[in-house]
Amino acid sequence: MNARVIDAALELLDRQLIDRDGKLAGNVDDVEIALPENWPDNERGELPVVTALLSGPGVLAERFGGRLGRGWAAFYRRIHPGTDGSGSIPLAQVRDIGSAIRLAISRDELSSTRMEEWFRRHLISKIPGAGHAPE
Amino acid sequence: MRLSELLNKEVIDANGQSAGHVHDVRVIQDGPITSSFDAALRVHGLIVGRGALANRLGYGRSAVRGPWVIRAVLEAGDKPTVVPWHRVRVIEATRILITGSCDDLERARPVSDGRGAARE
Repeated sequence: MNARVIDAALELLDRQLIDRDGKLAGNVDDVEIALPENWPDNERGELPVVTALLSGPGVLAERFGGRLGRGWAAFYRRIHPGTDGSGSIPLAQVRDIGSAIRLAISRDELSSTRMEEWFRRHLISKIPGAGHAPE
Repeated sequence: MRLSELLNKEVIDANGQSAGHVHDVRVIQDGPITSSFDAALRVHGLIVGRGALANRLGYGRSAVRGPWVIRAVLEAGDKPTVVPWHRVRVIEATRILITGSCDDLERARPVSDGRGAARE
């Protein structure tokens, strides 16, 4: 039986996430991989498994690393105290992987969209005419 | 572990020789069946080498054929190879140590685009 082959960096990283209602829900900023028990001495030869897609400013900051990453993470913590902005989407909630990645959940269930909401509430909504902007 | 913890690290074989850097991680949807996503995605290997840039830009995929000049230039260097996951022994901050010699690594075969790609 043919199984689908995916080059993870090329086909998962930075892909657009689309929620169950067809709304944009951020991008894939990293991918969570579970190592087998007792790796690298796992006697059954089990392979690591992709468990979740990670999205959000906190994840992106860690991926950037360095000053840029630390600065980005500090800015996020300032506007959202108590959270690092990481959103983990279990692979069970992924419906399709293509040019975009379709989810089985609503974007409102993702903590990774908080920064976008903050900008919408505190900046975008203050601009005259913003009330007529499309969703 | 995160995907970003593997990417761009230098792969060193048992003789201390460099096989290049990790440019991608090849996963295959052949794991245990899950409730909503068919089979689980399992990590089978690391795409490694200096020439792996062509793969990152999509030229490692059979569906991407042009412009042929760019393809020819990108593929003129070293060809990307695959490090099977069972040869990965240690993941360090900047390096990944593997068993055996990097001379034994097979060339990374292009995957046909998207669904139904043949398993390696």
